[in-house]
Amino acid sequence: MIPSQLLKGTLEGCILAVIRKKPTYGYEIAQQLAAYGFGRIAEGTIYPLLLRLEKSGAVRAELRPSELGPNRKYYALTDRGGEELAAFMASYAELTGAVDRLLADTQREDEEP
Amino acid sequence: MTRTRKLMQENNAFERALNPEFNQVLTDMVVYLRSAPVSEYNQELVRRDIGQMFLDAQLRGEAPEDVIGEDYRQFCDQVLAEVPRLTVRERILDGLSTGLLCVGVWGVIWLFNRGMLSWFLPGAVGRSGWPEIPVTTGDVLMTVLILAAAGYLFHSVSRAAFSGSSNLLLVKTFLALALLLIVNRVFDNLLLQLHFGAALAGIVLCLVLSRVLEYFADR
Repeated sequence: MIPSQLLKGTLEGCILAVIRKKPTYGYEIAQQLAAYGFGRIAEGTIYPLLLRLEKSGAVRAELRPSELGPNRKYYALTDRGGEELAAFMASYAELTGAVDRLLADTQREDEEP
Repeated sequence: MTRTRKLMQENNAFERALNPEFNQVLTDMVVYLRSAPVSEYNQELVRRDIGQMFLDAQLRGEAPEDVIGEDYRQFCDQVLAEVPRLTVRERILDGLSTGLLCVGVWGVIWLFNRGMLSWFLPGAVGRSGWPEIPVTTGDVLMTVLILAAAGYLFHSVSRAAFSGSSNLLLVKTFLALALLLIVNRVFDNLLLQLHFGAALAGIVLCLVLSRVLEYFADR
């Protein structure tokens, strides 16, 4: 289980990556993330982030018919969202590279007699 | 019909498919959202989204806390942080529309009490007047106080949506009612005689203006 504090800064970018595959809705995004090993993320955690992404123009919402109740809201990536995803991927690669180097160094020091 | 009213009707209709547990949580959330500085239309959009999430979860056999966690208020605050705030223009139109609607509704109650009842039951009401209706200082003060009290109660109930019933709120309501009755009794000096037709026209004007402003606020 990934600690929520660690997840916080990356979830928005990860949601963009899921949406890039195909237009999708909140619950399906949560399922996709769980399948990638993120653990159980409640739809209620994802919904405010989707609202934020929609407000910033990174995703576009579209209503599609649902079997029950009102139409379901599907989210698709916009050009701006694609740019944000690319920026996230670059920043994340930089971060993981730095963390990897630091942790490898720490591990080496621990192993030295 | 405005787009908000249309959406509200759609939301009311599909909410009947929710079981009592989901319905109660959604009702509490809507009550909480009502006093937020976001437009009624955006409140209804959020209501529709959450309602859809709840319907899906209900079909999967889940509980509300599986969808939005256990802190409903925190969830609502996170959602509200992402919903566009009312602009100054919207705030003014919304405030005027709500204010005029309240004055209009209060006017109907007051007119019925002062006009109709005193016409039919002059002894019971104590101050007869038809078609000229006496307006006292108490009437004016009571109108201001009752509108302020209604606004305060609305916000208190909305903010306490997830806290359950509040005895303090009940006490405050009774104190407000008692104060209103005292004010009406004490300040009974006559200000003016208002013709029934003029009073009725004023009330109709308030209600019509309220709908017109609501229409412009909803565009």
